[in-house]
Amino acid sequence: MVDNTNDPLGVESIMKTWSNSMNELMGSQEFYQNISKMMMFPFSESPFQSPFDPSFQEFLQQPFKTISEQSNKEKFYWPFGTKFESGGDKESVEQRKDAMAAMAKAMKNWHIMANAMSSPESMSALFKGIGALPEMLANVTQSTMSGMAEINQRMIDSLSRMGQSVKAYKFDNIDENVFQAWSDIYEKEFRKFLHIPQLGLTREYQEKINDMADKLNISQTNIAEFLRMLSLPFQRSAVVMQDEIQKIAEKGELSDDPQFYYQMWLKILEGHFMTLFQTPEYIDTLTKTLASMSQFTKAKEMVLEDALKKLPLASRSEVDDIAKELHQLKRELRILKKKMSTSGGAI
Amino acid sequence: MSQFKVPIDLIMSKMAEGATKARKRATEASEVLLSNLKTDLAQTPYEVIYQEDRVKLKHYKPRKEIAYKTPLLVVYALINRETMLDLQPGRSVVERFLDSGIDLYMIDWGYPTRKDRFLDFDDHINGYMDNIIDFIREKNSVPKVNLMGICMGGAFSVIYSALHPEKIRNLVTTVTPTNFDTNKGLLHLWTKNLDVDAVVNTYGNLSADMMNFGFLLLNPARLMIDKYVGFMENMDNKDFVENFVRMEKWIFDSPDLPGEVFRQFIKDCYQGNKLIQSKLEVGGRVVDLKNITMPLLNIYGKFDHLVPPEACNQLVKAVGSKDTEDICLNTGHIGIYVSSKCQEAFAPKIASWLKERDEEPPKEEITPQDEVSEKNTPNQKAAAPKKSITNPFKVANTATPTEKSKVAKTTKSAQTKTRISKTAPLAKKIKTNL
Repeated sequence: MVDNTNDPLGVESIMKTWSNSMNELMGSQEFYQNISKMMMFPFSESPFQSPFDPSFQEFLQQPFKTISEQSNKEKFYWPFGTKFESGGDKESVEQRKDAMAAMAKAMKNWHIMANAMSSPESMSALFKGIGALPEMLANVTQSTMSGMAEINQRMIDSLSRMGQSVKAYKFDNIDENVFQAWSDIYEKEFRKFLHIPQLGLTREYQEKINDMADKLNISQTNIAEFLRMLSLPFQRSAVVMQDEIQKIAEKGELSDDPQFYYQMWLKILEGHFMTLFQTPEYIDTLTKTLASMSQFTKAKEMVLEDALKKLPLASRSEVDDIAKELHQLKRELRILKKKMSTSGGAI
Repeated sequence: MSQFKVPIDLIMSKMAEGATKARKRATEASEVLLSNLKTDLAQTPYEVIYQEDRVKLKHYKPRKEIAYKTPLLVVYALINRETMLDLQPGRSVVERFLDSGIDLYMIDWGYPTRKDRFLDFDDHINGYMDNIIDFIREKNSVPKVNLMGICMGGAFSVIYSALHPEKIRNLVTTVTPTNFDTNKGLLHLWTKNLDVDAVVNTYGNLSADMMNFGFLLLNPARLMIDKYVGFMENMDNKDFVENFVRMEKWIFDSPDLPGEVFRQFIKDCYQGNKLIQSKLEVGGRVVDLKNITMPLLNIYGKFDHLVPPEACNQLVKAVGSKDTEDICLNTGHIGIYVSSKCQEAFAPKIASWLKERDEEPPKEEITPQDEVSEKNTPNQKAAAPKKSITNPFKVANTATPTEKSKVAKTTKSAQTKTRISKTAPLAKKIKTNL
C-alpha cells in the first residue's frame, strides 16, 4: 500500500479505481462487438444489403479486434506502465512515489485555487466576466440586426421610389442605394471588430489577416456598387424604350421589323451609358472600386508573403527588389555608354 | 389615351422568319468556322535587325526601289501591338508605305513582364528609342531619320524630338495626345482622380486585361453587345469572319503596360498636363516643345473617343517649328489605320509629305522673302543647313566637342528658316474626301 503521508488527498486510490474500470471496459468482448457492429453498414438490423465488399468490412473492423486482443494481454495500470499489483522493483517504486507526489502537488494547488475562486470577490469578478460575454454577443447581434433593418428600410424606400426616379438620361442621386447603406453600416458597426488590437507572438500575422478581411469587404461592396451602376442604363433604357414605343404607336408608325426595335434600344442604351459615364457619381465609384481592389490585392499579397517566408521560395517583393537594382544598374550603364560614345571613349 | 394597334402578328411572323434564317445561317456558319480561316496578322515580310531586352526593331523588306533618302521609323504605342498597321494584305499601312518606296522601320515593344515594371519614359525614350535611332542612322549612314508616332508612341516621338532634335528630319504624329486638359474623352475624365500610385504599387504593371476592360467600358453597348450581334448575323460570310477574327486577335493581343510608364503617363500627362506646357521632365531634362523645329505633320480623328481632337490639336501651336500641318480626318481612333477609305488618303499623304521634305534644301535657295513669319499655317516648310556635315553621326563619334557644338549650332540656325510648301491643296482634298 501507499504511504498516506505521500498521498494526503487519496489520489492513489482514485486512480487505482479508474484504471480497474478502464481495464474492465477495455477487456470486455461485448464492448468491442458493439463497436464492430457500429462499423457494419447497413446495420445488422437493417433490411438493406451492404454496399461494401466483405473484405472492406473486415478491414474496418480489424483495428477494434486488435485493440481488444491487446487489452486482454496487457492490463491498464496505475501509475502508467508499472504493475502496481506485483509491487515491481525498487526503481519502479521510486518512480511511482515521484509521480504520486507530483500529482498530489497539482491537486493541492488546484484545491488552493478553488478556495480562492470561491471567495465572494472572486466569484463576483468571474460572474461579471461571464456576464460580459453575452453583452458582447448582444452588441454584435444588435449591430447586425440594426444594420439589416436599415438595409431593409432603404430597400423599401428604394422600391417605393422606383417609379419616380426612373427618368431618361438622368442619373441624379444615384448614390442613394442599398450598397451605400451597407458600406456605411460596415464602416460604423463591423469594421471595428476587425481592428481589435491583436496580442502575442502571432499578433502581426493575425493583424494582417484581419486587414485582408477588412479590405475584402470594402472592395466587395465597391465592386457590387460599381456593377449595380453598370446595370442602371439597362433599367433606364427599358423604361425609355416603352415610352418611345408608345409614342410611335400613337403615331401609328409601329414597325414590324424586330431589327428596328433592337437598333432603337441599342441607341438608347448607348446614350444612357454615355450619360452615366460622365456623372461624378460614376467616376467616384470607379475610382473607389479600383483603389479598394488594389488595397485588397496588396493586403492579400502581404499575407501570402508571410506564408511564402516559410517556403524555400523568393517572395514577389524580393524579386521586385532585385529587378529594381538591375534596372538601376542598366540605367547607369546606359548613361555611361552614351557619355563614352560622345566623348570618344573617355569619361 | 388614344387607341393604337400593335402589329404583334407581323412582328411575330418576322421573328419566325428571322429564326428560320438564323437556323440556315448557323448551318452555313458551322462550315465557315470549321474551314481553314486566314486570320494571321502582320504578314508583310520583315527582318528583326536589332534587339535590346524585349524591344525589337523590324525592318521591312522593300517591295520596290527605295525612293527616299531618309528612312522612316514608326513608333507604336505601348498599349496594344503595332500589327494593327499591317492587318492583312491589301489592308495595310505598311504595304502602302513600302509601295511608295519608303525605307521602313518599326519598333516592336514586345511584352513587358514584371521585371519591366520600373522602366519609365526615360528608359523607353532616351534608352530604347535613342539606341534604335542611332542604329538606323549608323546603318544607313544618315544624320537624321523621319519619325512617325502613333497614339502614346506619338507622345514618345514628340518627347524624343524635343530632346534630340538633331536626329530627326521630319516628325509625323498620328492620333497623338499632347493636351490632356480636356473633358471631351472619357479617358480624360476617368483618369483625373485615379489613384495611380495604389494601382502601380500593387500590381506593378497595368495588366492588359484591366486595360481592355477599361476600353470596352468606353462603349459597352457597341463593343460588348452590338459587335457580337453583328458577328452572329454575318458568321456565314467567310470574309467577314476572317476580318472579324483578325480584329479580335489584334484587340485582345495586348501587352501589359510597364507600371512606371503608366504612373508617369497618368500623373504628368493626364493629371498634370505637363507635356503641352513644356513642363514635363524626362531623364532629368525638361521637354521643351520649342525644340521641335523640324517639320511636323499632325493627323487625328474627328470622332476619336480615346484621343479626341482637343487632345491633339494644340501641338502645332506649341512647337518651335514653322513648318507644321494639322489634318483632322472624319474617322475614329483606329479607323485612321484600318479603314480602307482612310488608308487611301492617309498613307499616301504621309508619303508625299515626307517626299517633299526628304532632302534638306541647299542653303543658297533660302532667301529672306521666302521666310514666312506667320506660324502654324500648314503651308510652311523648314529649311536645312546646306553646308552642314553630310553625316553628323560619324562626326559625333570622332569629332572634338568644339566641332560637335559647331554642327549643332549650324543645324539649329538653319532650321529656323522657312519656305512656302505646296501641300495645302492635298490636305484640303483629304479633309473633303474623308
